[in-house]
Amino acid sequence: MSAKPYEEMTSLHEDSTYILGDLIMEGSLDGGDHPVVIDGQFKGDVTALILLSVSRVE
Amino acid sequence: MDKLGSKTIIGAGASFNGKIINAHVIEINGKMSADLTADKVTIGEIGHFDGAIRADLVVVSGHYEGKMQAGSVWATATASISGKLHYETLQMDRGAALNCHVVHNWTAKNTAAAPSENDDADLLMPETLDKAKNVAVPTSPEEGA
Repeated sequence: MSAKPYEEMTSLHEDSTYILGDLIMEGSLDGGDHPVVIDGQFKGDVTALILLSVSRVE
Repeated sequence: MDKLGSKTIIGAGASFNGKIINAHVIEINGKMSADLTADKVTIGEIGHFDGAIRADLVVVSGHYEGKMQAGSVWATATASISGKLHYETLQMDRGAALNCHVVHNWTAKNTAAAPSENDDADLLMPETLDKAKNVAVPTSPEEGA
């Protein structure tokens, strides 16, 4: 079994939505057919097939 | 860490309506209608942004419509920009489409100190174009002489 290259492990898939960092986001988000990952400050509505929220979504 | 820790991506097929402030790096591959403040903004080839952007650097490869205030703007070959563009440095690749009001060396200080009376002067363009259409254009050098 071969290990994945570092670039592959650390790259973000551009079809998915990532809300990362210290930004403040307010509004409505629809992730479409792809996952949504939130690790930031989000206030509003999120629609997604898969939602991974590390931080609090109000 | 920077790659994963502070970059926000609006994925292809995703849509967002609202407001974003204090963003570091944001990449838009989906559809966004927002008021956005960030350090660096990238609108991908299939990205569509409608609204206001304030940023140090904006790279446009997709479609932008609205009022942009940026330090540096890079319009790549697939860019389509309409609305108002206020910038300090601009790079345009061959094929980029700018259909907008463009202001060079914009700064917030200048804008506050001297609001333009003719801020919407670009709206007069259609009338000017109509007048131009009524001018006979010579089809040969002899006719034009």
